[in-house]
Amino acid sequence: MGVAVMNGTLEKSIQLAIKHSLGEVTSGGEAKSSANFSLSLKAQLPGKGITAIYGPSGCGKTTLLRCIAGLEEVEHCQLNMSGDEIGSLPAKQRQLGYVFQENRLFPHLSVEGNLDFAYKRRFSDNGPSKQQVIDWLDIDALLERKPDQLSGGQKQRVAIARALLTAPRCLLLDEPLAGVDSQARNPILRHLETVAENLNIPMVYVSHNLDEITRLADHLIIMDQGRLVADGPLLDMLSRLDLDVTRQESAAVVLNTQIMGHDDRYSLTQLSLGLQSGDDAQLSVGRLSGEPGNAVRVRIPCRDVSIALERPSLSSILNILPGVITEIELIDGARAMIKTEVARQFILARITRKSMEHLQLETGKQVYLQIKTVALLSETIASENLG
Amino acid sequence: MNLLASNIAALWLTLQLAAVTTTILLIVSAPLAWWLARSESRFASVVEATVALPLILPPTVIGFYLLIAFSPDNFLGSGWSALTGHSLAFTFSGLVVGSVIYSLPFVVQPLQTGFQHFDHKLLEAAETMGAGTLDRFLNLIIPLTRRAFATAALLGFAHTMGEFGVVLMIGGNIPGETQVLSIALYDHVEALDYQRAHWLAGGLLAFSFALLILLYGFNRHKAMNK
Amino acid sequence: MQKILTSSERNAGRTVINSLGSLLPNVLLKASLKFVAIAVFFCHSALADTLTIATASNFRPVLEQLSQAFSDQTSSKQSSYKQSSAKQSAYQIKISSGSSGVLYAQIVQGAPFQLFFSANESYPEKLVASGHGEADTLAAYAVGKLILVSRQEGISPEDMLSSAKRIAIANPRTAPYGIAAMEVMESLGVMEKSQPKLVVGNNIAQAWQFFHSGNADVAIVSASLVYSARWHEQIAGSIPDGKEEQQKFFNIDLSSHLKQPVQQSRVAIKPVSLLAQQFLDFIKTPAAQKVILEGGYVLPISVDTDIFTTSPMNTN
Repeated sequence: MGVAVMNGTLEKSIQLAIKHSLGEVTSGGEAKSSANFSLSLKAQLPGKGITAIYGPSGCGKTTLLRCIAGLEEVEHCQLNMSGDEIGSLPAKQRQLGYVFQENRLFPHLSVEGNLDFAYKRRFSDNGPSKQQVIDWLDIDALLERKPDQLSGGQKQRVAIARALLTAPRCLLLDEPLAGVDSQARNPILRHLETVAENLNIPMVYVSHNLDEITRLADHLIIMDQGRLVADGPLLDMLSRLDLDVTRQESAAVVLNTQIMGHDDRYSLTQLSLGLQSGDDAQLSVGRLSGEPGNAVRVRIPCRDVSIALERPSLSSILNILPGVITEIELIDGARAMIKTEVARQFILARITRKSMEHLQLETGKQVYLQIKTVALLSETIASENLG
Repeated sequence: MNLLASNIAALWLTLQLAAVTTTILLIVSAPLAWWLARSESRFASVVEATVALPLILPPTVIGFYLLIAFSPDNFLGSGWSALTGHSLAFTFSGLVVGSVIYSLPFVVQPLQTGFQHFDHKLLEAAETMGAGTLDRFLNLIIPLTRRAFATAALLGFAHTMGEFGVVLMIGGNIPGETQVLSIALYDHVEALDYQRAHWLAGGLLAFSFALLILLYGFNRHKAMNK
Repeated sequence: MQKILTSSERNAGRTVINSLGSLLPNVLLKASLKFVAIAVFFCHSALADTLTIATASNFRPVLEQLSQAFSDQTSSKQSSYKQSSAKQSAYQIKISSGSSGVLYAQIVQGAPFQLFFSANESYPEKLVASGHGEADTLAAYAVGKLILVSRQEGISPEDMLSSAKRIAIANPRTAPYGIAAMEVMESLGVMEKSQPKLVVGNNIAQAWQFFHSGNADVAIVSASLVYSARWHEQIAGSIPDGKEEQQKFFNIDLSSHLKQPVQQSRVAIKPVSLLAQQFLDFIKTPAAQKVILEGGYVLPISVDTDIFTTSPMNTN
C-alpha cells in the first residue's frame, strides 16, 4: 500500500520494484492456484538480517521470491542490492541462493555431491567453506547418503547448506519448513539462527507460519493479493493494531531482552527489556543456559496478558511490568486490544471490553501488565507459565 | 573379393553407418526431443507427426523421395555437390542422410519420453546456483535421463544396422561404399550364393545376440545392485 | 519393419525361406515351407484359372500389353461361341517381374510360375535341363537391344563412358543385361576406368531409375525399357511443354559391341496348363509380334515363321 521508508539510510540495502501480471500463481512446488491477479510491489529491505515475507496462501509471496530470484518472467523488475542493479540479469547471474520448499536436491548425487555441485559454481571465494556449512547445518553424518535416504528435515538442511556454498549475496528461502515435521523444525530453526549469526548476508524468508517468523525475522513484509500491505521492523509490526496480524487468536508480540543474571536458588533467569534497565522492566523465566549479556528473544501472547491499575503485591504471577497505554482497539463486541509501551518496546493485552470500561482504560494511562506466559523463542516453542 | 573379406567389408561398413548415424541423431534429437517434451505450442504436434513419419512409411518410399532429392537437378543434390564436390546418391554420405531420416523417431521418441519424466524443477535449482544451459544439460539432464539416452542410442543403432529398403533405393550396391550387410545378403541370395549368405546372416545374428545379451545382462546387474 | 514389399523383395523373401528349406535335411520341414510359400502366393489367386507368369523386368510392359490383348481376344471368342447360357470362365493373368536370375532361383525352389520369360537363353535352358521346364516350349521370343543412354551428346560409347561420373547398370550377378553391359565395357576396353564409377541396380528398371532421377549420368539398359518409360510419360502427360530439354537424352545402340545379341527365351514350367499353352500360341500370332516389335525389340529368327523383321526405333 505504499513504499515503506526506512529510518536512516543503510549502506547495504535491498531495493525492489516488481511488476508481474500472471494468470496463475505459483504457491510453492506443484500447486498452482488460478488466482488471477497481478503482483505489484515496491519495498526496501535491510541489507542484513532476516526479512520475512508473510501473508495468507495465494497472496503471491512465493511468486515475489521467485521474481527476486529471476525465475519468473516479469513485466518489470528493478532489483538493487547494495548498489548493484541485478533486476535485468538472468537468474543464473544474480548470485542469489535459493532454498526451495521441496528442497530439490539432485537425486543422482550424494549429499556431498550436491554440495560440491554448488561449491564448484560458487560466485565468489568470499563465501563459507564446505566445512563451515557442514558444521552450521550439522550434516557431517549425512555426506555419503543419497537424497532418497534422508528425512525431510535432513534434506532441507542439505538444501540450505547447498545454497550457502554458492557464496550468494543474499539467501532466499521459500517456506523451507513446510515439508518438515514439527519435531525437526526446531533444530533447523536453530541452524538458521547459527547461519544468520555467522554469515554477513541478508536472508529473505517466506512463510505463512507466524511462529517461525517471530523467531527468526528482524524485518517483516506483509502481503496480500499481490500487494504490499505493510512493512517494517518485526517488533513494530507485531504490535500494530491496524494490521491483521494482531487480530489473530494466536497474536503475540516479540521482545528483545538480555540475560541479566541467574537465580540458581529458584532455577530462574532474569531477562531485562531495555538498555536502561530498571528493576521494573525485568522478566523471570526458567533457568536458561547462557551468559549475562546474551540476547534472548521472547514472545508474549496477547491473551496471556492482563492489566491492573495498581501493582499487585500478593500475586503468584512473577512477571509484572509497568507501562503506559499507547493505543486501544476494539476487536469485536466482547474484546479489546490494549497496546502498552514498556521500556521502549510494546506489549499487547487482549481483555474484555467490560474490563476495559470498568478500569476506565485510556491512552496515556499508567498501568501494570501481568504476563502469564513468556515463550522463549531461542530455546523451544514451548511456552512457560510462570504464575 | 574372397568370402571373408567381402563379408567383413559389408559388416564394417554397416557398423560405421550405424555409428555415424546414431551419433548425429543423438546430437540432433536431444534438443528436438527436449522441445517436444516441454512445448505447449500447437505446432508441436505437427513436428511430432513429421518425426513419426518414418515409423509408418515404407522405407522404399523414403528411398524413392530421397533419390529424387539427391538428384543434381534438385536443391539438395545440387547444394551438396556445390558444397563438397560429390554427389549424394550412391555414397556413404547419402546413406547417412537416409539413415538419419529413417531412424529419427527411434531416437527422438525414447528421449522425449525420458525428458517428459524429468523433474524440471531441478533445473531451476541449478539455475540459481549459476548453471547455464549447457551446464545444466550435461550435468543434470544427461545423468538423470541416462536410461533414455541408452535406449535411444541402442534403438537408433540397431535400427540402422537392419536398414534395407532405403539403401536399396539409393545405395547403388557399391562394395565398401554402400553395400551394407542387408544389401550384401540380398545380393548373395539373388545370385544363389547361399554359402556366402549363410555366413553373413549367421554372423550378424550371432553378433546382435551377443550384443543384446551384454546389454540386458548389464542392465539387470545394475538394477539388482541398486 | 517394412510393411509393403516390392515383388522382387517378396520374391527374395520367399527365396530365403525356400533356400533355408533346401538346406535342411528334414523333408517334412521342406515340404511345409514350400506349402507355406505356395499358400501365401495363392492367397491372391482365389479364382479357378490363373496364369502366373514370371518375366524379366525389361519385358514387363510389353507382356502386360500382350496379356491384355490375350484377355480381350479370349473373352470375345467366348462370347461369340457361347451365346446361350454363357458361363464365363473367369481367369486371371498374374505377372511377376524381376531380374531373370532371381526368378530362375525361385522357380528352381518351387515358386509356382507357369511361364518364364527370361532376359537370356541360359536360364530357360537350365530349367529344361533340370526337368523343371517343358522342352517343347523352349523358344526365343525377342531379341533385346542393349543401349547406352546419356544426358550428354557423345561421339562414341567409349567417349560417353569415359566422361561419365556415374554409370548405372543392372546387377551382373543376376541380370543378363547387366552381364551384357559388363561385356560391352570389356570389349570397348574401358572396364578399368569404368569400374569405380559403376552403380548397380537390382535390375535394369532400377538402373533406369538412377539415370532418370539424374543421379547417374549414363546408364546401360535395354531399348525396350526406354520405350516403355517414354510411353508411360506420354500417357501420363508428364512431358510438359518447355521441359523437353530436361527429358532429352541421347542413346547409342551397343548391339554391335556384343559378341552375341541378347536373345531372350521363354519356357513353360511343368506341368503345362492349357491356359499357358494358349498364351504361348498367342505370342506367335502376327498381332502379338507387332506388339513386341513396337516395344523396342527385334524379333528372333524364328523356326516357325522364317521372317526376320526389324522396326526402325524412334530415338527422342
